[in-house]
Amino acid sequence: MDRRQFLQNTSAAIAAASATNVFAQADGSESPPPVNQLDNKQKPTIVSVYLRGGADSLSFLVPKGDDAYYSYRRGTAIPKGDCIDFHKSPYFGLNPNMASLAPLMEEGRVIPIVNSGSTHGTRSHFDAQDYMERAAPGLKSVRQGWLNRYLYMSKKPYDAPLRGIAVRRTLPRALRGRYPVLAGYNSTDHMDMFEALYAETNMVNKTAREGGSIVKGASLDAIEGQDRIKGMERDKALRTSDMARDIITESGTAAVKRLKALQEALSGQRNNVNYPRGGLGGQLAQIAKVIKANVGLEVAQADYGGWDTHSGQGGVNGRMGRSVKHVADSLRAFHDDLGDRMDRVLVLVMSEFGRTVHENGNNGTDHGHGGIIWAMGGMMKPAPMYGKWTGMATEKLKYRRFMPVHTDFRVVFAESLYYLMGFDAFKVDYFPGYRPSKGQLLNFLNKVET
Amino acid sequence: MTKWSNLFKVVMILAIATLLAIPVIGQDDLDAIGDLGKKDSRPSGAVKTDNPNHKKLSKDEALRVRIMEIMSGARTMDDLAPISQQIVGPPLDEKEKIYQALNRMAFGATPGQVERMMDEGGWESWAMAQLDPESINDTKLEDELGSKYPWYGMTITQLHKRVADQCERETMCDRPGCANKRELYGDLPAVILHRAVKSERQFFEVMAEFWRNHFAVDQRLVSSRMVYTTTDYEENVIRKHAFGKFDDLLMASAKHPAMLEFLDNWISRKGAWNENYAREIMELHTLGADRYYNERDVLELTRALTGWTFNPSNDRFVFKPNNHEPGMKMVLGKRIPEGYNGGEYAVNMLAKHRGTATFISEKLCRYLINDHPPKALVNKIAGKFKSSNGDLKKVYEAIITSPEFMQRANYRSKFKTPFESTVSTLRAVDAQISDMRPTARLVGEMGQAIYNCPDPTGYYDQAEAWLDSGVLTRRWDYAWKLIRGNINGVAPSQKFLARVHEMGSGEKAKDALIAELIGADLGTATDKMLDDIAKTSGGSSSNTLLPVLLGSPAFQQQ
Repeated sequence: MDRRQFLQNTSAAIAAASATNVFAQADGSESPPPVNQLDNKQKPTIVSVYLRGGADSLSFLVPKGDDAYYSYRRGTAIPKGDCIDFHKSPYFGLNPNMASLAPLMEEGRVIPIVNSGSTHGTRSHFDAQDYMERAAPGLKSVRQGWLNRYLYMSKKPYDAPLRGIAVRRTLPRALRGRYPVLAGYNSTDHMDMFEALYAETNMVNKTAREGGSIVKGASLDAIEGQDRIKGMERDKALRTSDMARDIITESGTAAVKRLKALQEALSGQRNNVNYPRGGLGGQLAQIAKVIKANVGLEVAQADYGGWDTHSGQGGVNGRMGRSVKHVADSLRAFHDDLGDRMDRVLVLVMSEFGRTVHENGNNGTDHGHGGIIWAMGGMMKPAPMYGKWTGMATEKLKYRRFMPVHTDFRVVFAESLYYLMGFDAFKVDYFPGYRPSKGQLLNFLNKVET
Repeated sequence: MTKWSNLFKVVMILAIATLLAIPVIGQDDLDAIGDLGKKDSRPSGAVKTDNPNHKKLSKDEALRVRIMEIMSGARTMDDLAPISQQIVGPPLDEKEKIYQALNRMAFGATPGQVERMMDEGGWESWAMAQLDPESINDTKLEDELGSKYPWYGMTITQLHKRVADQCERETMCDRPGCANKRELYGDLPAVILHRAVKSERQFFEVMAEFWRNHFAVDQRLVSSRMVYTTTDYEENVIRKHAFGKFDDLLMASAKHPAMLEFLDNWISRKGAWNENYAREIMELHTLGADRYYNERDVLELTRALTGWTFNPSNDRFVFKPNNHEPGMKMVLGKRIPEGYNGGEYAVNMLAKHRGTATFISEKLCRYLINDHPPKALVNKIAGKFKSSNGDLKKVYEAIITSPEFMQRANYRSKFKTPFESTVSTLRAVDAQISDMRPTARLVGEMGQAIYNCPDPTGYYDQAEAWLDSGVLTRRWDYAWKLIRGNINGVAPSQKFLARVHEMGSGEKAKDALIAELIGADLGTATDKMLDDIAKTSGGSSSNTLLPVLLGSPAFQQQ
C-alpha cells in the first residue's frame, strides 16, 4: 500500500466514523451535554404511558373520510357525524371521547405519530411488549428495558435517588434492568425498623473505614474491642459473607433512600386539578407530584391495561369508548396540572400493536400491527401529525389486514432521549444492530435545555 | 491467629488492587445491552469520560467514590464481584459446613436441624442421602398434597378433561371447566412452594427449581391451555428427569405440549417456519448465547424441527410429515436427514455437545457454589458431564464433593432469590400450611412468579437481578406479617413457638435464636436492634426478635 492509498483509506475510515452520529448530522450539534447533575432544577422528563393489550388506534384518530374504514367496520366504527374536528381535516376526525385533548391538538401540544410500531411482525402480546419495552425487536438477548438502559448508560457517581420511577408495585419491563429503579408501592408499615435493620453500620467495610483504614477486611484492629462478634474468632468474621451482607445492606439502604425521597417528594406536593379516578389517572397524578418536587426525575412509566378488545369493543359508547375517555381525560389533567412544566415533560402513549382493520364476528378486533404513538409536551414542533399515512386501501395494508408500520418506535425513543436528555442513542450503540437512515427521522421535537 | 490475619491482610490488599483496576464500563455492560459484536460501543456519557479527576483520586478517595456509587444506586453488585473470589480464610468448621449444605442443598434449616445433623455425624451422610432422593421417605407430604389438591397426580388426559368445558372468559365464570382452570392456575405455584418447604427430599426440590427455571415455560393466562400443560410439564419433564440424564430431560421438554406451544414450535411448518424454539434450544437450553452456532444453524434447525407438534385433542406429541420441510439440513456442520429422525438426531446432538456440557456446568456451579464460579471448577464439572454422558446425579455429586463447595470464599456468598427467601423463612419457623396460594402470589409480587415468567430465559440466576429497591422491603414485610399471623394460609407452628418460648427471654433468647436461624455474624445494625429489643421488651421479645432476624440482611444470604 503506498502513501496515497493509505491516506485515501484512512480518510474513508474517518468519514465513516464521523457519519456514525445521526443526530450530529441532523442538527449540527455535537456530543450530548452531561446529564443529571444535582441542582434542584426541573429535569427534562420522559413519561411513558403503556396501553397493554394492543390498543385499536383507529378508534382514537378516525379516518372518517375513508370509505374503506366504514366498509371494514360496523359496530366498532366511530360514525363520521360523531367525530370531532382534527385540524379541520375532512379525512381525519377524533373519537368524541377525546374532546378534552382536542384543544391541545390544535395547539400542537398533543400530536399523533401514525403508522408507528415494531419492525417485528410478532402478534404475541408478550413478545411484542418485550420487544417494544426493551427497544430491541426480535432480540431476546436484550433484557434491560429501554428506560433502564438509558439510566444505566448515563449514570453518574452521585445520581439523584429518583431518576426513574414506576408507580405500580412491580416494575414494568421498560424500567427493569441493572439500574435500580423504585416501584412506588413497595413500602412497609414498619419502615423505621427496616431502616434501622439495613443501616450502613451493618457493613463491615463501613465500620472499618470509620476506624481509619480503607482496606476492606484488613481492618481487624478497627473492630477489635468492639466485642461485636460473640463466640467467633475475629479472623473468621471478616470474609466473603460480610461482603455479601454488605451488598445486601447497601441495596436496602438504597431502597430506604429512594422510598424516603419519594415520600418526601410526594408529601410537599399536591395536584392542582382533579384526575379521573383510578387506572391511569391515579398513576399520572403521582408522577406529576414527583416532577413538581424537582428531585431529578428523568423517566417514568404508567401502565394501563384492558385494550385486548377481541369482543364487545363497541364504538363511541362501550368498552373502548370508556377507555379512550379515561386516557384522554387523564392526559389532559396531567397537562393542566403541570402547566409550564410541560415544556420539559414529554409523554409518549404507546401500545404493543394496533388491531385488525376488519371487525371480527364478535363486535371486536384482533391483533394487528401498526398503531399510533401519541406524544404530548411543550417542546414539540407543531404539526397536525408525524409519520406517514398511506390510507386504508386493502393493497396498502400489511397482509391486507393490518395497518403497516412506517415509523419504527426506536426512532421515536431515540429522538426523545436525544432532544430531552441529550443522550445520543446511536453513538453508544443503545439499540443493538440498529441505525435509522437520516430520512427515517421524524424531527418532531425541539431541543430542551438540560 | 496472627498468621491468619496477616495472610488475610495481604489477600485483601491484593483484592483492593483488583477492585480499583476494574474498568468503569466493563464487558458486562456490553453484554447487558445485548451487544452484537460491535467493537466500540462504550457509552460516551459514562463516568470515565465525565470525571476528569478520576485518575487523580487516591486509593482512599477512589474507594469512597465507589462506595458512594453503590449507595446511590449508580453501581450494582457486579461491579464488586471480582474481589469476592479473592477472599480466603480458615476452613469451615463442622457446624458451618452443615449451614452451607443446608443453604445450598436445601432451602435452609428447619428448627433444630443443625443440631440434629451435628449429632448424626455432620453434613456428609445427610448430603449423600439427599443425592439419592428415592431413599428418603416423603410419603407424609405426598399424602397431604393428594388430599389437599383434587387434581394432584392426574395424567395430562385427566387434567385436560377437568378443564374441558372452559370458555374464553377468564374470570367470573362458574362453569366447572373455568373454575377448575382457575384453581389449577393458582394451585400449581402453591404446590411447588409447599413441596419446597416441606419435602424431606430437599436437594431434589432445589434441583427441580433449577431446571424449572432453566427450561422455563409460562402458564400465561387463566384461559390458556398452558395452565394444565404446565402442570403436567412440572411432573413429567422437570421432576421426572431432574435426577436423570440430561438428554432425556432435553428431549422430554422438546416434545412436551407446554414447550411446543410456549416457544411456538407447534405452529412451525413447511413454508411457515417459526424459529423461536430452534433458537432458544441452542441459546438457552444447551449451548448458550452465540456459542458454537450462527444464524444459519438456527434456520436449519428450525427446518429440521418443522412438523414437531402436538395433537390439541389428546395433548400427545405428534410428528406431521406433511408439515415437515423436506430435504437434508446442516446443523453445526452435521448433516441432518429429512424426517422425524433428523430432528431427534439434532436434539440429541445438542444434548451431547461439549458446549452444552460447559454451559450447563457453569450454570449449575453458579447455582450451587457462587455467582461467579472459577473457570477451573467449571471445566472440571464439564468433564464429568461429558464422561458420564450427562448423568445429572453424577454431575451434582461432583459439584458437592468439590473442595470449592466447602470453601470459605463461597460460604454465605449468595443472595437468596425471592423464592429461596420465602421458602427458607417458612422452613425456619416450621410453618403450618393451610393455604399456600396467598404466599405464592406474594412471591409473584416480589418478582418471581412461579410458572409465570414470560421470558423463556427464566429468571436471572445472579444476585444483581434481585437487588432492586423494594425487593428487600417486601421480604421484611413478609417476615413481619408471618410472625404476627398476618399472612393468610401459613403460620409458625405451635411446636416452633414452644421451642422459642423455651429459649427464655432477653439476651438468652436472642443468642439462641441467632444460632437457630442464622448461625453467623449479623452486622452491627442488626445486633444493636436485637440488643435493644431484648433489653426493653423482656419476656415477649420473640414477637419482634423473630421478624427482625428473618428480615435482616444476614438472613438474605445463603
